[in-house]
Amino acid sequence: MLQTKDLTFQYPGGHRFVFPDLKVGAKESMLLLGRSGIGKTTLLHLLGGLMNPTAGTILIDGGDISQKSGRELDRFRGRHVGIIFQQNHFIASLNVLDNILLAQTLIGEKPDTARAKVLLDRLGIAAKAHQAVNNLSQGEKQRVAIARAVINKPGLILADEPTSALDDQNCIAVYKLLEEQAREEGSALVIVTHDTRLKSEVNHQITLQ
Amino acid sequence: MMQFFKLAFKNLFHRPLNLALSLILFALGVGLISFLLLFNAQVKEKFEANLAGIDLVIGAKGSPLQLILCNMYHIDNPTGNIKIKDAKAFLNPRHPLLKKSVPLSLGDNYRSFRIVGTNHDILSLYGGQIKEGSLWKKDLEVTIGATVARKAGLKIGDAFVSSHGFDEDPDLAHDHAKFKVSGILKGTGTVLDQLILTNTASIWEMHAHAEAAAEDHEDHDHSHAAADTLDPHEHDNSNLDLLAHPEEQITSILVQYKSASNYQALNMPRAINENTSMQAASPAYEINKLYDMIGTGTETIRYIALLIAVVSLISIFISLYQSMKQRKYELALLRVMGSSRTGLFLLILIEGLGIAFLGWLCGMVLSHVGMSILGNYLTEDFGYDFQAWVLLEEEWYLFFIALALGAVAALVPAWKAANTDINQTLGEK
Repeated sequence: MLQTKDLTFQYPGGHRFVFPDLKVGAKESMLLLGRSGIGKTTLLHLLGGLMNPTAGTILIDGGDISQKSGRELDRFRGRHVGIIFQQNHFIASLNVLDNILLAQTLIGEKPDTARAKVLLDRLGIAAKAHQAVNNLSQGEKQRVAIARAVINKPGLILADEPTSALDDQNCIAVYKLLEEQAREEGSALVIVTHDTRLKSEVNHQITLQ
Repeated sequence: MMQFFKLAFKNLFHRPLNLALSLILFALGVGLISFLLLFNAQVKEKFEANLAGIDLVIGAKGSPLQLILCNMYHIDNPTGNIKIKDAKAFLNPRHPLLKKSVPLSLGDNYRSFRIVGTNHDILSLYGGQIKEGSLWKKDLEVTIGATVARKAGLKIGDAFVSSHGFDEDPDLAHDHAKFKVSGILKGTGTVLDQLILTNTASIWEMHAHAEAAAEDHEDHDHSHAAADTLDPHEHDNSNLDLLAHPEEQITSILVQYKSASNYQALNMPRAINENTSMQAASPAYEINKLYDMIGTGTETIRYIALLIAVVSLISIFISLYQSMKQRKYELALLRVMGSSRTGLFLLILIEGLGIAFLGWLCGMVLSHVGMSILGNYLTEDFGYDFQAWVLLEEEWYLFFIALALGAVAALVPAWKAANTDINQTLGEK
């Protein structure tokens, strides 16, 4: 689960963002909306532990990520946050399965091949497990990215514009897939987007002003 | 840590052409250096094992190096012959300065192995011991070195016909007299293994036959005239026996002093060179001169090898730096998934070390295969055996130097990788 309080970020000599308090429970979903430049990406990076806020707290799985730094933050991020980026990037030299397992070995855990295969199966791409990632279609890549994000059963899954490049039908399908996987793993799901088509799907919405 | 090893090697092999280029350059540098080490060590070893405590070689005037190479290493032709009457002082067993003087008469060979007319003292110079049969006693009896026995397939009691000079030319075969194998020596690792030993008189006899045969062709009435001039009595192997034939010739005398620091002994070579028609050469001095000559050559190759090493260092650096730039997003991704800065540093460092290690491995294979090819060639040409499949201590140093080079080349790219700005990289999309 995720809970933030009085979150502020000040770019050095630049913009100052003050964000509303957020609260998303396990198995719940939330939509973070807002126009470009309003601070969506900044908030995503703060929630993902990719940078520290100027002030405020971010609780994920009960740990305050805003107070962590260095190696501790790296580990915490890898363990408790799964991020799905708009562009699906992978380690080109590894196959689909190894890309997913890397998320486990990088936080010092034993790779659980059986679980990775279950996830791939659930996402309908079990047959692609030993293929090079670059040979996959965009849709398949997104599914691999989802598997990679959920393999560690993170408290928080962040998705950055997962649907903006898709047609209406696929847009809803991808959302359903994300929501399903998050619920299955007991994670909180936060989707950062300006895609208004999702508004009708998710009740819990916050629009950045 | 393990996950970075796996990832680093997967990354390296993901770009096989880049890897190949770096490896080829690195292997070439390492290979050349290791080859030089291998070659120098073994040449030196061969030369030193065959110094055999010989202080002086006395022979016909000419190049002193040639005299040494011919009479001690048996890899060059004689400078000529000397008459026994000119050298009798040095063959006298009661000479006050000399511990041993071993006469050598060269000129014939069997299957490229030299037949040497000499006395039994030659064995003590090289630590030779009889393995089978007995030492030569009568004329035309021979005792053969271990390599000769193995490669020419000669056994006790076998008879063979020699040919003249080092070349195997059937037209030059001395087809009258036959040598007979009386004994085989144990291997010593010295030049002794490649020699066919007999008494001096056998060589004289051989050439008397040869001359007679030559005359036969010109004038049939004088058959065996020259052979008949030789004393019909049995020859023993002593120097005294040689002294009884003052008009006959030998090729050289290998001399061991009683005391090498004796003042008179030190003056002996100069006295010989200035006052007689012979020359005296010091093996240690000539071989050092030879090292110097070889040294200049190997030094040039060493500089070329160093140059290649520097170029390969740069190539590894460029390769890592480029791939690091191309993989900027991958590196950011690794950070997102929980890897620390140190982790990324290690990843690139391991990639550099990996290239160095594989390059070292290829270089080693290259140099040892090269040595084995050259060794075969040298064995065929000079009769010396070279070991291609030994690992010198210096080659292990080379291993650590190689890894150090890999680490140095990886340092800047690794540092850059560690400092990848995640937010900016991910923001670029």
